[in-house]
Amino acid sequence: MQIIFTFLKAVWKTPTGRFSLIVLGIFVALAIFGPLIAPHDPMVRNYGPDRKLLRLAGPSWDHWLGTTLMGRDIASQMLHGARPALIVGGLTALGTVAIGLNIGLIAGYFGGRIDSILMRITDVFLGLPFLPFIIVVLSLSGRSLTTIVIAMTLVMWRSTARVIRAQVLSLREMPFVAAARITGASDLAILYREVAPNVLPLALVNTAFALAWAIITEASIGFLGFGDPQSITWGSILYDAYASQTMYRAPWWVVPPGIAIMVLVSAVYFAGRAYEEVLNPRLKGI
Amino acid sequence: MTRYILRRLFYMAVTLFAMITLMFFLFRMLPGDPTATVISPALDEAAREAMRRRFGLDQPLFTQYLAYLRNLAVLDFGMSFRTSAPVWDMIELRLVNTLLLILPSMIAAYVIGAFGGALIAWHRGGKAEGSVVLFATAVQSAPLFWLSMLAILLFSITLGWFPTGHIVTPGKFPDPTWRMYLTWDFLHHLALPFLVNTCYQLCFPLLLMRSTMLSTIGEDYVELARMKGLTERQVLYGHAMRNSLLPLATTLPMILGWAVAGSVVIESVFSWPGLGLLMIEAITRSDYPVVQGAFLLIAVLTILGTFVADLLYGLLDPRIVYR
Amino acid sequence: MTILHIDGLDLRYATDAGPAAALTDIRLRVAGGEAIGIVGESGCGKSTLLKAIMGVMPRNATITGGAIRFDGTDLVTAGAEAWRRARWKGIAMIAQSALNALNPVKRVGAQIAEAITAHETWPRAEVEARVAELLALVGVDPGRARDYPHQFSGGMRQRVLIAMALALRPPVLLADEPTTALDVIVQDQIFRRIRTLRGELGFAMLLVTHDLALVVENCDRVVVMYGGLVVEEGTVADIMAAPSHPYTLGLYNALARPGQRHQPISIPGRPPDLVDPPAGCRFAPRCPFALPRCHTEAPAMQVVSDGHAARCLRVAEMDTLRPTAALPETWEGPQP
Repeated sequence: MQIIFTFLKAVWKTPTGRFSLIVLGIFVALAIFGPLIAPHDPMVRNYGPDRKLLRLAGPSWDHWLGTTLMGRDIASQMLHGARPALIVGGLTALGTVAIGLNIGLIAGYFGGRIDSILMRITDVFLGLPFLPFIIVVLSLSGRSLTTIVIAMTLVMWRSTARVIRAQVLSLREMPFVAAARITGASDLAILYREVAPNVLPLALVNTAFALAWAIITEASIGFLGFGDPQSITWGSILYDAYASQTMYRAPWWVVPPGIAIMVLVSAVYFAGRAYEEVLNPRLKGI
Repeated sequence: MTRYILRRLFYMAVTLFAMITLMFFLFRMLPGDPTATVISPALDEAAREAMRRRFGLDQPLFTQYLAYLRNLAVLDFGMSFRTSAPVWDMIELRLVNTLLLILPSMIAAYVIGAFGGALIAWHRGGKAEGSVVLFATAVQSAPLFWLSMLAILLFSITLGWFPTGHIVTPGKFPDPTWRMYLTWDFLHHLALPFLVNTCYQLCFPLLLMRSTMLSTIGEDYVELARMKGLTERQVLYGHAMRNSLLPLATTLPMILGWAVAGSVVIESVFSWPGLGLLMIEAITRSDYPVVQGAFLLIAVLTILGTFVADLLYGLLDPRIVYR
Repeated sequence: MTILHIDGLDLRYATDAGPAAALTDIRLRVAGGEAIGIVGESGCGKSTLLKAIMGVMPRNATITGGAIRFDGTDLVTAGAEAWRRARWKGIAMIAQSALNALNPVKRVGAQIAEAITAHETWPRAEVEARVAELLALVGVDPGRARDYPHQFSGGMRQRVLIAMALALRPPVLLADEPTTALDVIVQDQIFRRIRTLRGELGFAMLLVTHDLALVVENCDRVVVMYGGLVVEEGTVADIMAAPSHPYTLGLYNALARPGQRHQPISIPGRPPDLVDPPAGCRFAPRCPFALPRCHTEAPAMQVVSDGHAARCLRVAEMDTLRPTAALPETWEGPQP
């Protein structure tokens, strides 16, 4: 918890970081309150005053972002989409870093055979085609937000594990580790009390990048038609638009979900990079 | 050096073997019966039995696994459940289509990204740097399929410059041969997915190059190069950029493997009949010999790529000695 | 004959706190073949001065006044290309950090050759011959031109940097603490080599160091810098015999001399803040001899004797102050 507070404080110091955090805050607010402030039920077909279905109606006072081919309100769908994006992205990022951090720590610290075995396993996962593998898992295990999180976590931890391991390899030789060993601390105590706190900043940067990547991937899964059929996500809105074959007549259907993803993910990237700059001031480029 | 290569080759073999095994059992152990959709319940019992026997599905799982390994050893990837055609024949053609799109586009992305990143880092602190970084991050943050849709909306539908999809005009080449790739029609269809993919993929090398350059520019040897009276150009290209290329060059082979895997998205939007689209089709139809074959191919590409990347690093950085 | 004339050079750094006056009114004439030692604590501006002469200041530095005349041409106003041409061919430098100054992924021979080809259009064979000759000159086996920097020891790398500096036989050589990273024995070897080469090739040298002893051994004249100002200058003999600025006295005390009875005395306090420098004498806040007017009145250079000057209001009383300055308790007084 402490580390998250320091992270926010460090990011807040830079102008871009502050801006990113504000944008992220807005998205979190939308994820919480979005469904409450949505003007329409996102799945209801809307009819015009002439009792005709509002097919592909352009933006208007009643429907800010227009309607879909089935007459559904796009603005309401957008407001419902923030929640799954953040929940799926956030859980995947947490899972990714939890697995990647532990594997990287153990492999890097113990070295030898343990390292060798863990790294071969990592190599196997590095060889897996990212998106196709997720889709296979989803098509075989059923499509829900939970399976999406699991499937994504299963292939995403690999990069984090490698990055963390490289850092641990150099930390292992530091005097403070030797000092802890002399005091008779056990390997596990040294690993989690001495080494782990030193890789946490790096792990945090990785969490940010994993979050960004998970949000994009979740949308891609939805777009390819393998998303959770029960929930409305920005990816599924785009999938509907693409599948309807009419999206090129209705830019208001296609543009908003992409913009939302782009702005959210950019904010995550900028926040991560702002923190990286705090860790390594040379990146600021004076 | 020889020992190092031998050890790496051994590791690669182990990794590949683990992967083959993982995939074989994955497809059979996850919930859901992949054969259910292939073998139609409408068929009578005798016909179903015959079909099961034909694909070896009546054998115990472990026997199936051994047979699979035996076949792979002679580069036999098996038969498609759907078409009964050899998997390799199906993959081969699609792989060519994917590589024709992905390879040139990744090379262009890395070249533009490397120079672009180096130049904005060199002229750091200005408005140009800020806007390029903002723009590249935004493009990197957008889903590739959405960028492709926007590109089609703008360049194909509104401006009418490019076709909306496919590799050639449908029906134009009823019997495709390699000559198809030498036509203007093919290039016309290639242009838009190539441009979209290049613009998207160049963001990563560009941003990576920029941050590496920012560290390199502060090094003493860059200052000494300038003191020696080298021109700004010589300092930039001969020292700062030369050294910053190291981390970038090593990402290329691995990213290439990922880009082939990631072609799923762009091929779906542009109806490009490549490996990605084949995988999606095969997954939706539970045609898992095809999926397994495609996965294996991508794994080999990625694992080889990582190996090449490590060798490349040793070649470019004399400080690294392989043991 | 003056080969390098620094005439009233002012240089500022833009910092977050505001502009910092890193160099103020630096005046220095270097005659051909002469060796000048520039001494002072870190942060006094000596390295900045060398970088300014080479024209490779950091991006936040600006020359706000004065001239750097090399062979009669003012490099500051001559334009970037003219300055580039003068670098290395006219004024070369032995870099400070031997480990980081060489590009790790290029062969040392190529890095020396590069300095030559940036200025001359010699045929390749001639460049290679010159590189071999240079390496031999500094006592490195010419066959090692094809090795990479990490294959050399620290002392050997420093020799390579000297060979590189001599590549175009520059009339002026700058050396920025060329031996800080090396042990005393290697340091001694390197300086012996530099003295021999100077005898053979006759280049002028500006040696920057915080070690007065090195200056005494290697130089003809001394320039003492403090807070971006020259506070004393004169011949080595003059300054050793009659140091005339309290700061020089302090440095002099800090010198470990054989047969010395007590420990070297260091000057307490820190160098001045150059964003908001002291109003009077910049050394006054640390000076044990400061009078009230020292804190308000900025002194000009005062002539001590012919060719010897010091920036102190109490120059005339220096003969009486000097014995006090040698006592450790003088420097222990309450310092702000």
